[in-house]
Amino acid sequence: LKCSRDTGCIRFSVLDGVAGDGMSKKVAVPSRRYAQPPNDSQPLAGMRISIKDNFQLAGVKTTNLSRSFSELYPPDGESADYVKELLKLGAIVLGKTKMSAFASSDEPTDQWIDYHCPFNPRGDGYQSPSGSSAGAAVSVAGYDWLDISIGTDSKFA
Amino acid sequence: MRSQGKLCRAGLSKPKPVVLIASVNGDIDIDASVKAVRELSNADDDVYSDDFLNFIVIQTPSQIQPRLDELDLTIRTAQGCRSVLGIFSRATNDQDLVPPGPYYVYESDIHQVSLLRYDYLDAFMFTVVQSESDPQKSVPRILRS
Repeated sequence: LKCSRDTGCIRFSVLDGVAGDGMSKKVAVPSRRYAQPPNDSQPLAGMRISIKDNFQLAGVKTTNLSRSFSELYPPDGESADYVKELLKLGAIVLGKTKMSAFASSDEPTDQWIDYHCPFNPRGDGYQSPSGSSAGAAVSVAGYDWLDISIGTDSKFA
Repeated sequence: MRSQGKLCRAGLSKPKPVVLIASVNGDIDIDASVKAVRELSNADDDVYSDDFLNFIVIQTPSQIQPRLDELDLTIRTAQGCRSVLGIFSRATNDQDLVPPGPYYVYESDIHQVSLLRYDYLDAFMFTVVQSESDPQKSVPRILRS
């Protein structure tokens, strides 16, 4: 069985390395020309998206922003059905974004215990990015090279 | 992983930016090729830059050997680029062609380009690259700062 967007077996690798400031992760942004123009079968063709780190992505860990959870589980063997559907529709996943631990109502910044929250692109950067989909909101608001960011609304969190 | 296709000219020891354009219906149409380059130049693509336009690589769906000298002269005159670097023969039908766009040529192979951006807002937990799902069809990747 050949792997294709339709078969949902696309895998991912974590991109290593940081910028010269020693902190900022590198993000690999592919040319938009590698995808066909959006059409009925692939309306998201070439769209660059980020997904929240509570979605499984084949080949990458899901941390739920918990160090304990991350240590307990290996990288995911397959992507979540929702992610598979996004890939099938032509989306290009650039990364997994930060969130409050287990999508809880923890308020940035003091209640984010295991990881620091993202910086709010508005103002001086130190206003709360809120949550739980803080990284999703920050990435799509702050980066013009990103088209779509997927967050979640966990009703019972 | 290496892609199936190869450039017909000698390999390069350093990655060289090129624009890859496709032949039409397995034949080389100079007017269409020049038009394709112009459309690429005007496209809304933040990875593409005029640096890539210095060299053109023509992709053919089979082992077709067009008149390189004539094609080279026409494109160079029309676009101000320096030359046609070579012919990239990869697949046997139009559906398996590598999408036109900016690429790097390195060691006689075509590589996709990803522009490196930086997550200065610390929004990402992981940044990822897609693994090559089908080695027979995939195109290796080069990251560009």
